[in-house]
Amino acid sequence: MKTEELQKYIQNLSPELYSFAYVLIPDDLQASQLMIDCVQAFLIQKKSLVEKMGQTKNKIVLNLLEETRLNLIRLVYELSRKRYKQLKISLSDIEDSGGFFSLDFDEKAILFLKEKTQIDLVHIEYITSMTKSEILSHLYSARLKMTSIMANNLFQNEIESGGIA
Amino acid sequence: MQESKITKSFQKNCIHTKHIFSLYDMPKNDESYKAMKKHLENCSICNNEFQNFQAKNTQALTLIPKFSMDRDLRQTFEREVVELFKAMDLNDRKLLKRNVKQGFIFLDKMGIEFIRNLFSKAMIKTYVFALVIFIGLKIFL
Repeated sequence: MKTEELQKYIQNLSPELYSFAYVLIPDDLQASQLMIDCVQAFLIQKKSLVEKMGQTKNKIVLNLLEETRLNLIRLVYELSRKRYKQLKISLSDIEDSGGFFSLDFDEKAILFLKEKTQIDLVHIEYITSMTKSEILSHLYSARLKMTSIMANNLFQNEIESGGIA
Repeated sequence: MQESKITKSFQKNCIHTKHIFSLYDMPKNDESYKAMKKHLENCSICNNEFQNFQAKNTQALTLIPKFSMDRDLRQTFEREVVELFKAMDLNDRKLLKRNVKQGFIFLDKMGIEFIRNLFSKAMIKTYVFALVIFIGLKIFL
């Protein structure tokens, strides 16, 4: 596999990475900068992996590509977790507006990974460095909050449409 | 009448109901998943509760957004990736150069090691020993 192919692969991951980054830090410029920083961190941390991919034949590389994807998602999670603390005040408007963004940082991350990227629990454990039971508890509380948010939304819609006097 | 009321109120409660939601995300090969699933088949209260939760959850999932990237941002990202690969010396030509260089360094080291072995103490002793045998054989035969 040529390194140019790996470049293309990473470039093609941009919609998935951006979507995840934006969910964690809801600001388009911050999210795209986060992605660039993640790629840079990946190339520094896993330089040997990248060089290995450059020398390996295609069949073996498929596993390495999946490893690359998971590593990049993991880096998005780790870096955004650090930045979230610094940017929390500027993001409070979006979080206060309710909906999905009102969930806790980990709840948002785990629910998004599970439902939108279809990543299984074992890989979510790797990405978040949490145990299975911790992940399940975050998922459970996220789901409960989401259902209550939805119930509130329906109630408000009813009031606005004049259904409830 | 009273008896049926009591049965109904009793039916509304099941000690497993509050745990039944965990079934949603639990891995299917998990032992507790299998036990819960079995209970779900037999308990109508938990079954109803679970189906109710499942329906709500399916609707709630539509609230999870999936954002698409702006075209300009995407182009910037793609450019940056290319630049990063260049800055990290991860181009094919440079990788090939580095590999060839490493191959030569390996051969070079092997050659030096070979010459060093030829003139090592153990080898000199061997040469002397062989010479003694050779001279001995020449004299006595």
